[in-house]
Amino acid sequence: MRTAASSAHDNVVNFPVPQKEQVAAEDGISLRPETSNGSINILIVDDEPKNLTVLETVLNNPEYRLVKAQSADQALLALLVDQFALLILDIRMPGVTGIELARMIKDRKKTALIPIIFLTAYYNEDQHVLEGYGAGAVDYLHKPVNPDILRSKVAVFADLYRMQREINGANQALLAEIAERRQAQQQLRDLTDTLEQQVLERTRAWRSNAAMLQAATDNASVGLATLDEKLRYTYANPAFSKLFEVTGEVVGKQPGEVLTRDHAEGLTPLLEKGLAGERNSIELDAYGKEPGTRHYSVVCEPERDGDTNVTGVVMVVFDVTERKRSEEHIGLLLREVNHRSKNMLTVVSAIARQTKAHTQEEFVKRFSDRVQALAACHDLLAKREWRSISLPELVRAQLAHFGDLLDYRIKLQGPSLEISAAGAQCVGMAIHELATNAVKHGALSNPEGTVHLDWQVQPDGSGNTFYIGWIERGGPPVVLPAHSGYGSVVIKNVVELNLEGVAQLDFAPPGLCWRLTCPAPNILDGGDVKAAEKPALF
Amino acid sequence: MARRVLVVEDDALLGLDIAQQLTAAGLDVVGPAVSVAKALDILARTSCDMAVLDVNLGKETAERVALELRAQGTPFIVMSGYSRDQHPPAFHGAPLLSKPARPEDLIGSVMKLLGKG
Repeated sequence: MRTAASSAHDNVVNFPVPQKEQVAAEDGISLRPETSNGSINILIVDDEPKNLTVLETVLNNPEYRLVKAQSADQALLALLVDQFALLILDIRMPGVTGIELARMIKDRKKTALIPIIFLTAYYNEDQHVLEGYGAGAVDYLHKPVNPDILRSKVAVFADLYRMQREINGANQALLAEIAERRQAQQQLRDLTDTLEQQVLERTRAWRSNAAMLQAATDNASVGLATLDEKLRYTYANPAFSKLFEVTGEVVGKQPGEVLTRDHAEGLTPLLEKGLAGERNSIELDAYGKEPGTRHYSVVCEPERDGDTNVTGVVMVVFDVTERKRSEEHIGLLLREVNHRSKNMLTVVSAIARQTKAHTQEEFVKRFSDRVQALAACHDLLAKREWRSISLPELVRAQLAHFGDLLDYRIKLQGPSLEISAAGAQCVGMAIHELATNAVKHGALSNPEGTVHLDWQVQPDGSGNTFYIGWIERGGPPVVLPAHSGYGSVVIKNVVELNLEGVAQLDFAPPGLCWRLTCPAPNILDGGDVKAAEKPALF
Repeated sequence: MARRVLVVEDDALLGLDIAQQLTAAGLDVVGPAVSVAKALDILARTSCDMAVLDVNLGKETAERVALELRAQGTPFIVMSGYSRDQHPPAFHGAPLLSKPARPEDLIGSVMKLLGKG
């Protein structure tokens, strides 16, 4: 638009045709921003182009940007596109007059505050109308316009506008700052809320952890205690007090004031090593206040402030009494197993020495059978933990290899009796020898012979007498043995010695008879004590 | 005259076996005694030159027999399946034959103690 004013350097007024830029501006919806150098927009409206040129010439100033309009329509259009500091308006225009245009402008909220300078003919009726607007942003000038007065009035409005614009700018900056501060405050509040929430959550978590730790230490079977650098208790859990049989408050006291002398003396070197920064442990065998030895395993660990300074010690105490006892018991059992196996080897050696035979094969057969009989006896003893054996069970075990003959040609009769381990071994071996003899020479050497094995406990004058008998019938004629070998030693001498009884061996023609009697307590259960419980040896 | 040896062993089979070995070596055997009471009874009635003692006699140990032998000044050999440190003090110092013992070791120890080894 300024290009349109390029020819207007004198006071001759031209009639500028609307320029392309102006037409283009009609398309714009948003307001055109003010020029960057802060120039002030002034809209000049006059239907006479030459008057516009005159105004343009008068107001030629780099601070002003003049927008020309030749009609009310053009003026309204320009007002839509730009913000104006001032309107210079010719009252007399064809169509919509300046007065009507001014009213329209004042009615629009957006443009109501734009000051207007009316140009009017000198001394005509328009002045009354203009006075009706009152003071303020409305002024008027008489034509022909005095250039100095016009420039002066325009300058006043321009200054006013500039000041207002500066105030607005300052206001904007202030508002922006306030908004910024509010935002910062909000952020701070949000941050504080988040922090508070985190603190709350952590406190809750810590309380929960602390409660768990408390519950754990209160109910632990492991004793826990902490001591400071002067070896005064700072904490002791209930298990600690229980293990060391401590009653009353522990915190603030020293081990010597709380524990028994044995305990305190045992622990002192451990705690001192802990204070010296050394993790160490000991096993304590200390007599408590209650009778009986207790065994404790105590671990002592230095407590450090950061990485270097030892500020105290943590003590962990386990009661290992049960473990110790079971270790001792295992040791005892191992020694007993060793003893028993040696004993068994001794018996086997004796059997080997006592077994006589003409050939190697015969020896092996007899020896193996005897070892087998011994093994059957031991199976039963082991099953009953070496305490006692049921006599019927023992008899059946010794005769098991007869299979179908048992309860058919070998009849068993007697009550269920529990006999001692020692008794079981000698009676078992005797039955084995009798059965072996019966198969070789007696009732079981032919298809018809029978054996009747019976036992009982009979009341006697002084006490009860145990009786067991082996009676053979239906075998070949009985012959006296040529020599008394191992078999006869076992069925007579051994049982008599071991049971302090009497064994009768009768080689009567109808069949061999073996009868053993002894005082009942010598063979019945209760006569033998488990070897592991023998006090004299351990 | 044959020297007399007391055999104390609670397992009659083993006692008889030992007695047989000693008899075969020309010794006079008394016993075997299977209990402390039996052994003390024999010692009260018979004088012995020495004894072979089993330590563990089932319900009891032969400790009292060992003490009686020491009191009489009769030497003895200990036969046991247990190691020496498990024996009562009365047995300490006596020659120990670990079970099972070989017959020649038994006879050798007995003869040595009788001053015939």
